[in-house]
Amino acid sequence: MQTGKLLSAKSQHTYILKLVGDVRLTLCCTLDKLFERIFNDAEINSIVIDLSQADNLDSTTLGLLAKIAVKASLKGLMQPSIISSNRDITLLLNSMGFQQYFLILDRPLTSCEQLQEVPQLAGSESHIRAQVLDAHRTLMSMNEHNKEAFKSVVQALEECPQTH
Amino acid sequence: MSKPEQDAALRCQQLEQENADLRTSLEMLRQDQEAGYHVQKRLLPLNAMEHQGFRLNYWLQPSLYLSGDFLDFWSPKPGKLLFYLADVSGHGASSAFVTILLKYIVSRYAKEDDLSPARLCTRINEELLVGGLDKHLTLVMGCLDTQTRQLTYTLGAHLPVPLMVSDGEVQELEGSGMPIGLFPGAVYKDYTCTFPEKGCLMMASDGVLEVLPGEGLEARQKEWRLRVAASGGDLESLLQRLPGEPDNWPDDVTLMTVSGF
Repeated sequence: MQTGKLLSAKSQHTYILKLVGDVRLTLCCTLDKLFERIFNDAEINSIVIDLSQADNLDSTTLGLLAKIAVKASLKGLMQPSIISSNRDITLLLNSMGFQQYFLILDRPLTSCEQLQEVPQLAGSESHIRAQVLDAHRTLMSMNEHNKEAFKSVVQALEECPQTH
Repeated sequence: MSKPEQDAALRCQQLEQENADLRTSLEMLRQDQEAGYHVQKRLLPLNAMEHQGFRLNYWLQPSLYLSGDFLDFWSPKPGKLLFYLADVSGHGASSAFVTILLKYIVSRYAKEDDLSPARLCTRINEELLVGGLDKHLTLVMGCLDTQTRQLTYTLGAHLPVPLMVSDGEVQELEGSGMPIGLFPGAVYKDYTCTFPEKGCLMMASDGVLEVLPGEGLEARQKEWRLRVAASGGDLESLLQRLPGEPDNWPDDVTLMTVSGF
C-alpha cells in the first residue's frame, strides 16, 4: 500500500483536499494550519474532498474530515462533498454517519454536461414560501435535533400571511 | 597514534557514550509507559463477573503499552447490568487519556441517569466536544435487565457490529448510530431486544478486523462472523481461531462477551 499523502489546491472559490494512499495522521499539528488556510480565506465557499485514490483512512483522518464539515456548517459554507470511488471507504464513511454531513459521490463530476448551473428559484412569493417550508419540513423529519432546531422557522412560515 | 587515528578513536568513544545515553532514555520511556499501563489496567473491571444468571468477561491486548480500547461493566442497581466497549481514535498514550475521561464521565452520569445508553452517549458526546481534545470514539453500550432479560443498547458507529450467538445461530444487533465526539448535536437511539436463554453477546474493537484475512471491510466482517459462529460465543475458543501472535497484532484488540446461563 502506498504511504499516505495529503494534497491540497484552491481553484476559484473551491478548496480541494486530496488524500492519497494509506492515510494515517499520527500528528495533527499541521492540521490547524490547514484549517486556517481553508476557513480564513473569504474567497472559499465550497470544499471538495477527493478520496478516489485513497486506500485506507485511519480514525484520526476521519476525525479531521468531520471537523471540516462542522466548521464549514458553522461558517455557513456549502455542504462539503466527498468523492469516494473505493467501496470500502464509502462503507466506512456511511458507518460513521458521514452521509448526514457530506454529499458523498462515487466519481468526480468532470464533464460540463454533469455540471449544470442550478436555476434560481423563480416564481411567486407564495411558491417560494411553499418550497422553503417543504425543505424545512424535510429537514425536521430527518432527526430529533433538526425537529427542535427548525420548529420555530416552520411555525413562522406556516403563520406567515399568504400574498398572491 | 597518528592524528587521524586519534580522531577516529575519539569519535568512536563519543558514539559509544551517545548509544548508552539513548539506551537509558529508551528504558526510562519504557518504564514510564509500563507504569501507565498498570494504571489503565486497574481501571478495567475485574475479569470476569457473574451477576444474576449472566457472566461478563473480556480479553484486551494493547498494541503498545497503553490502549485506546476500553471497556467496563458493573451493576449500577439491583437487577441491572451496564456495560460498554469503546475504541478511541488512534492508539497509545493520547487515546489512553481519553479512555480514563470516558470512564469518569460514564460512571458520573450513570448514577444520575435512568440508565438509557442513548442518553449516556449524548452526554459523552457533549463532554468530549466541550473538552476540545480532537479525539473521538466508537462504542457499543448496553443495559441489561436481568429479570426481564430485556437488553437496551445503543450503537455509536462501532465496528464490528456486535453479534448475538444463540442456538448455533449468529445475528448482528440491529441499529446504527453516530460516532461520539465528532458532531455537535448528534442523536443516539436506544434499541431493545430480548436476551436469548443461554445466548451470548460478542463484542470486539475494530483491531480484530485488521488481523483477519480478506480484502476489504465486508470480507473481513464476514470472516469475523464465521469465526464467532464456530466458537459458539466462547472467548477462549474464539482467541484460538484468530490468526497470528497477539503480540504482533498492529492495533489494540479487545473482545468482550455477555453470556446468559
